[in-house]
Amino acid sequence: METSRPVIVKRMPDRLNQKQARMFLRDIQPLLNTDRPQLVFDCSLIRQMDAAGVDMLLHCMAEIMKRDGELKLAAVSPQASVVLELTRTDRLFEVFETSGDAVRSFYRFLPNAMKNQPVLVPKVAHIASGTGTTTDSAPIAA
Amino acid sequence: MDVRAIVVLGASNSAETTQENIAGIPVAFADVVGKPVIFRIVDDLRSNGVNLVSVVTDAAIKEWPNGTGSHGTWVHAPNDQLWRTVEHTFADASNAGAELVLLLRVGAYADINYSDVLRAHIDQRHHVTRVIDELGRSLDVYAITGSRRNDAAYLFRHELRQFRSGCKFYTHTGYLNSLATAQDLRNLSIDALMQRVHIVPEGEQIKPGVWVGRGAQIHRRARVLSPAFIGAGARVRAAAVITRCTALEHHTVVDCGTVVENVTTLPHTYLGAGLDVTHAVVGRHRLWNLKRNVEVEFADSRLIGEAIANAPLRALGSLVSLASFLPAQLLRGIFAPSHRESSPSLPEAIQSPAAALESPATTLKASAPSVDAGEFPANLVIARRYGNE
Repeated sequence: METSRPVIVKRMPDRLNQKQARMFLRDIQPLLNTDRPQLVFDCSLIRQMDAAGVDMLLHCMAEIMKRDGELKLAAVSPQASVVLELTRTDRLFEVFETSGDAVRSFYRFLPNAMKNQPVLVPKVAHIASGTGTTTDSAPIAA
Repeated sequence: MDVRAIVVLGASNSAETTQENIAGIPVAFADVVGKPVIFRIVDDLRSNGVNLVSVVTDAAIKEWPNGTGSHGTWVHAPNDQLWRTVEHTFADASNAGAELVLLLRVGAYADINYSDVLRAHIDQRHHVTRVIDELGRSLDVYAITGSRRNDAAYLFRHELRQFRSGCKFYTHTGYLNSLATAQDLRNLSIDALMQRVHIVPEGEQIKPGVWVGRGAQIHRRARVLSPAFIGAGARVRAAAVITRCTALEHHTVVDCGTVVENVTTLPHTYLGAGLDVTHAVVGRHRLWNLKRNVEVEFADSRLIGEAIANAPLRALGSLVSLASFLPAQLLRGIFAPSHRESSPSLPEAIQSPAAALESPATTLKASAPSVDAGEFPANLVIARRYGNE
């Protein structure tokens, strides 16, 4: 499944405090205002991130989702990973090892992150009385 | 018999042990389940029949833990004069009539039976006995005959690397923790809570495996799962979860909804609301993540900060926050726009079918995920469980 929309990779600064987060947000505001934006934030440089940085990421995600777009994170530094885990925001983003992987994921139907995980396959069992159907699931390797 | 001990803290005699610091203070100054490691060593020496314990350190006096007055005689060594100060302390002990002197460099934490070491030293009839582990590595613990000042001076001038006239060995086969990194500090807390080491948590055991220090406050909606330690004056606020051998040292504050799992906090640490703090040592605006082996500094005290150490200031802070909370709530109530949507009237709500019943059960087949569809299954839910949940 191909898409003609561009994927934009943006490198984040090494510190994401209130001031830096505001500046970064100002930089990317035009990108957020496009139709169905596809963005990748390269987090490899981040050495320090505080609540303002996390707020900014969530704000970007909210804005992008409003426009039916997608935001993915790539090359997240250990420091940034710790902060994202600490604030429970890591589970909200799709995270990739490199920016290339993140970009490629936009052109694939099944995200890379899901490739090695079990996928639930429905097993349909009909109830004898015919009043309805129940659905059961069993995991198999994708 | 007049037995004395000199505990040396602050210098290392090997390249591997140069770390031994956490947030700029020696690891031995850090609390482990309610008491600094150095105090535990001093108490251990006293309980093994040592008459007088001197602690010689080059760490700044402001970094010393509270309560040094009741845990031996503390001597501050000027920069680069640590071993000379140790030599003077040994000479003073010898002059005062000490027959045996135990010298410990902290260093590693070991469950050593010091009485046994002294007995072995006397039996071996040698001037110096060195304690080693099963692999033959030195634990930097020595028993020295009090009258052998020259042997001792030679040893100190060579920073415990060389002996004037050889030494005998005593092999320690018990518990040993190198106490060089944050991981070691965490391991010591775990071992203390699991009772693998002779360290008793400083607090009352309110239920099996849960120790609570004096003045600690645990909100009734917070959950503390065994084994855990809540230090004196610590606060665990509503909906917080403390689990998996977590040790919250004194005056730690865990704010609402935060999950603390496999963590040691340094004293006076503040953990913000709604966080997930796991596999870490936290304190002094820093977090050492043990899984990723990374240290992260926090400038934002809303996430990880420092609780106020001074009790009157703490009380004043609480008063100010209470005083500001009420007007803020009033203003919010008056001026904030209401986000609440008008709910349907009661008869209407009763009449309408539930959303789950609106579509027939057979449509589940179509909406269920499949490999062919290649979509993320919407019904795949990851549930996280804690303890007995």
